[in-house]
Amino acid sequence: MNAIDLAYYPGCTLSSTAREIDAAVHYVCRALDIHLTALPDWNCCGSSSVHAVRPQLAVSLAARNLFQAQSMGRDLMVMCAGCANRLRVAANQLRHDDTSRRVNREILGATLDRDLHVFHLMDLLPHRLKEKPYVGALQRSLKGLRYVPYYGCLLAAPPELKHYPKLHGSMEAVMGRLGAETRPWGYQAKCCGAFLSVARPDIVAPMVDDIMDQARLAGADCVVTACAMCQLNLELRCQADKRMPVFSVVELLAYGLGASAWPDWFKKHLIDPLPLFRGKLSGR
Amino acid sequence: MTDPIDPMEIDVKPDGDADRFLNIVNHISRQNISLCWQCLCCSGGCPFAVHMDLLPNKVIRLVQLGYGRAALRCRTIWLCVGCHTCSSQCPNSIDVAAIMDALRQLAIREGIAAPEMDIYRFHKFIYASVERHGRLNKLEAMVHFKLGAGKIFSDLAPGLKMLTRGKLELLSQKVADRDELGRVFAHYNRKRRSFDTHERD
Repeated sequence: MNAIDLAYYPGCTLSSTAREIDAAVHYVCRALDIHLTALPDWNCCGSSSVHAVRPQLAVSLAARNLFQAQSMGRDLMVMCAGCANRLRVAANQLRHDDTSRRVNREILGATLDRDLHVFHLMDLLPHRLKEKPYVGALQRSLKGLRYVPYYGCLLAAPPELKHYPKLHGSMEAVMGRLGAETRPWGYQAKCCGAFLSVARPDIVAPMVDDIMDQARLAGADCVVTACAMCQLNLELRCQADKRMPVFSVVELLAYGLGASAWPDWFKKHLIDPLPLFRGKLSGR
Repeated sequence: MTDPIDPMEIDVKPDGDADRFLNIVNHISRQNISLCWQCLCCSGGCPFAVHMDLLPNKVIRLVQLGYGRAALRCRTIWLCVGCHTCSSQCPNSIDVAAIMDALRQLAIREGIAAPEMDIYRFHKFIYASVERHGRLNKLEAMVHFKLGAGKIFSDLAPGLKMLTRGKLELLSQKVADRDELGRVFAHYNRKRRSFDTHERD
């Protein structure tokens, strides 16, 4: 057993609208000996509106979280695609931009000195599931489930983050271990509409319908996401006749690793996935 | 796609110093906008382009030429959600989404009315919730947004569904070290006009 110790940043979404994903993240990490310790006093990463109207304030908000991880002496793990993006942009600026270093030292009394790495859980999972002690960890299969992997736009990072590995392919690796069937499609990285879902639902609803139509045309029974905001937008803005269950990849992995709480997680979905799940996996 | 803003009709270049606006936007966004050679990759990839009054490459061109007010007055900067589709397609690695962020900040600072009021209000209430608690309380921000936009009955059904499924919390989670958080906001509020000063004008 080679345990990995990481600081954990839950973020606003996983501690409110997507609590089931937070629970699944903890289950998966326990099963794979990834030890998570939450940051002692985390704050908003600066995502959504803060960076949209005050980009440098957003860097300072992210910096406060990064400094906490630095004093814990650990690398940081996030599950939210938005948070991963903001924290990485900030870490990059705090390391390479002299003005940013100086201003944030003035405000927060620290500089980012250690080569602190910001992981997204999906950076770790494909490799971890191939390691010897965990190859046999899967107790349940998703054989018969046809899905399309939906990464959304936030994992298409800004240019200064090109040195981070792309996550595309990581969901297929995890879902492949679970025995599910990937359906090919061209909408993997299409934007879900993000926060315009609230402010301009008239723009977002057709975008979401288009994504769901394409998923159905690809022959999928469901959409699997790596981003809680994508999941919520697809569920919330999709027309009644285009509805199709949307899962988080960690929920399904936690199910495969033997979690018993999965029916509670699925009950929180806005599009009920239980009929599909029971229908596909009954008799096994 | 309509193009109601005619650059010839709006500003003569600001203060005789053509590069001043460009330099400010470069500074806030930490980008080098002069690298843009107008290849249109950003506009070709943008999922919101059909709803914009100026394509993203045109906004960049206005900034390059110093047409500040035209760049700050358009719908485009408010419709951008920062999905980075443009940024990841730019051959010169310009983070176009970061430029849109900077322009939004400047529009608020200059007191220029947002042509997309609902989007403006959304940002305002999310920002206020983060400033108040250090973390975002989605329920609080949404209620304020719906009241402010006069749309109390839209999304009531899905909102209730989210509430009953435990997806929205009634009590805010709060950051413990209020002083430190206050210092962060105070630093930026001191130097730049906020939403409040914007609306007093």
